[in-house]
Amino acid sequence: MNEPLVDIRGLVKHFPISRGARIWSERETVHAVNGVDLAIQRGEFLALVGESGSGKTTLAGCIAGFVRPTAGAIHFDGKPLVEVQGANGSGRLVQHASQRQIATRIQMVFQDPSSALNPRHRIGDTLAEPLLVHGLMSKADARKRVGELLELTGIRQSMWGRYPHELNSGQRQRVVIARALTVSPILLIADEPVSKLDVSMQGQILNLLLDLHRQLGLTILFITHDLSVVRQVADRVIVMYLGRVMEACSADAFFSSPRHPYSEALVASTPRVRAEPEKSMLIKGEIPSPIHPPRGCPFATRCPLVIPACEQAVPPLHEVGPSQLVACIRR
Amino acid sequence: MGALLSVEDLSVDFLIDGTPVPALDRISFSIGRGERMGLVGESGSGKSVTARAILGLIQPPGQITHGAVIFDGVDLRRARDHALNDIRGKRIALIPQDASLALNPVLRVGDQMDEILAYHFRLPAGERRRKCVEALRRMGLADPERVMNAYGSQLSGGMKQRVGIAMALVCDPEILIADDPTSAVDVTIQAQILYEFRALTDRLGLAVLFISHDLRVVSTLCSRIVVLYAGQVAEVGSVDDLLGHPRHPYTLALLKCSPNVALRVNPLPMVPGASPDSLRALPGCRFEPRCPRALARCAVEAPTLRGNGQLAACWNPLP
Repeated sequence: MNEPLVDIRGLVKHFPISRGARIWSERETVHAVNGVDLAIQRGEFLALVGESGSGKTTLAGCIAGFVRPTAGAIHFDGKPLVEVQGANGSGRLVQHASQRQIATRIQMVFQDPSSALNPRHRIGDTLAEPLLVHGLMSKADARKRVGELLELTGIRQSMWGRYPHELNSGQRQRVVIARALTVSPILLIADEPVSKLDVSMQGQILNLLLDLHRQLGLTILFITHDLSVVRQVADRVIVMYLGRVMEACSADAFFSSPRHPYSEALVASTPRVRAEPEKSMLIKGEIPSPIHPPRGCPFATRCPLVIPACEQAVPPLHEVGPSQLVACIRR
Repeated sequence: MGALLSVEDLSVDFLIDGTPVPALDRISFSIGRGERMGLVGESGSGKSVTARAILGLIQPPGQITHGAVIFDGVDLRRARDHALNDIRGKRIALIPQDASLALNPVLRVGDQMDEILAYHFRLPAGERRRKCVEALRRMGLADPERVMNAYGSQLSGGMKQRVGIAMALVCDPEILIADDPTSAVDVTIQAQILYEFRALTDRLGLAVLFISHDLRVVSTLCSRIVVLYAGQVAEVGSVDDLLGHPRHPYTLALLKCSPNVALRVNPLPMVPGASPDSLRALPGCRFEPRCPRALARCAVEAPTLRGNGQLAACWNPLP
């Protein structure tokens, strides 16, 4: 198989926090990402799913270079991007690429298009800025490129002079996507790009991402909590829970036969028109605190299949079917 | 059977720079005792304004300009404050959208619940406490005593949302107005809460106005649905009629656009354009600019609700 575009090994991100006040304060640690191995293949549309607090956005931040990992290494396009040398906790962070270098190859689309755009910049200026900042082209060429980007993302050329408040939320999200594409990135990370949009607008943004994926061969890492959206776009699905990968498989396998009990519960809990989830498929409780994650399987506290061994050690990811990996000792 | 709550021709305007901007335009619907009614619409359609108008919570610059809210024969708009306060919070209760914002951060949960009971009933403190514990337990909170002594910030998101529902239940209301109470929690928690909410309202015979942006959630919980678009009722009917045979093109669009976890659709259906800016009054149907079935008449003349049982405000409804 070809070399993956992004190769993540042993990635850990712990955030130190202090709780309590003044002399009573205690230093504690949020275990946001807890040892993730993950490969993103070239040209795939990969969905990263999980509930809030599962570590999705932190993982994306590590790839995009704005979160510094505590341990582990990330390779991008065959070259090391960032790595932590030495033992866990005392490691030395080595950034192999500057933020500026990363930004020309990895771009992000954020959740809320209203806060992602500068309200005082015309959208043409917003789109031209990355081209000029990175010194990629002259002003005249940049103007031409902005026109191309507007066309590519389905915004009328005449709109370049508008301000964000003059656009509707769907158009704004198109502008955010166009801005991400200005520098012709190889990887686009879209973090909940449709969750702030009305349902009648979601389709146009998802269709746009699918078109860009096909037309430009863009690799997309799509982060969401909404499995019904994942179903519409993804080739492959990674499920995270409390900073660990629970299941990794093709989208078809995931929706027809999810193997991890957490994946099963996620699929079953997703609302459907006039179809209630079966009571037996609902899971109890809530995601545990990432400050004190369980010692063994992170899902053991809510799992219907839990046995004592689950609480002893973190289950490793193992193959249960053709390229279907599951971190569960019961499967 | 008479309606428990009926909203009749209700209009709400907000004054923006001295100009009245309509937020609700002559909406009508009614809810019977024990009935769960869904109110569905996208952002800006007037869902939350409806909830606030029913409870008499519209504050300037907003004002109710027309219509009535009748609860059990009492016109709430004309009721005096003391009569209104005997109904609000006691017989009609509101479940907030985001309980983490609705809970007072400096009061213990138990004290906040007790305040409601103490206002509405003359009961000894021990009896009030028993009622609070009972309401929390009903919402599936395993350790109600601990929750009573906790501050909002010490509870998880799912627990806070359960507390929000329990607080609404504490006075044994006849109708609950739930303003998208599961939009801020994760799907696994949403599924739990909806399951318990349905069982509980069934058991207590409670009427519910369930407001949501998610047609899928409403479709499993409610028996009838009102679809709002840009401050107007687009369609109202039973779940079977409305989702089985939608007559308003907007209802059909909502139904088609709600992503289905069981089915990949390619390309995804979408509605061109966006909801109209309420600052600009349209003479005709507000969905006309986005409607695939629009006729010449639709742009000039506003449709009224028509039909038998299932009512749609459309000049060219689906067959």
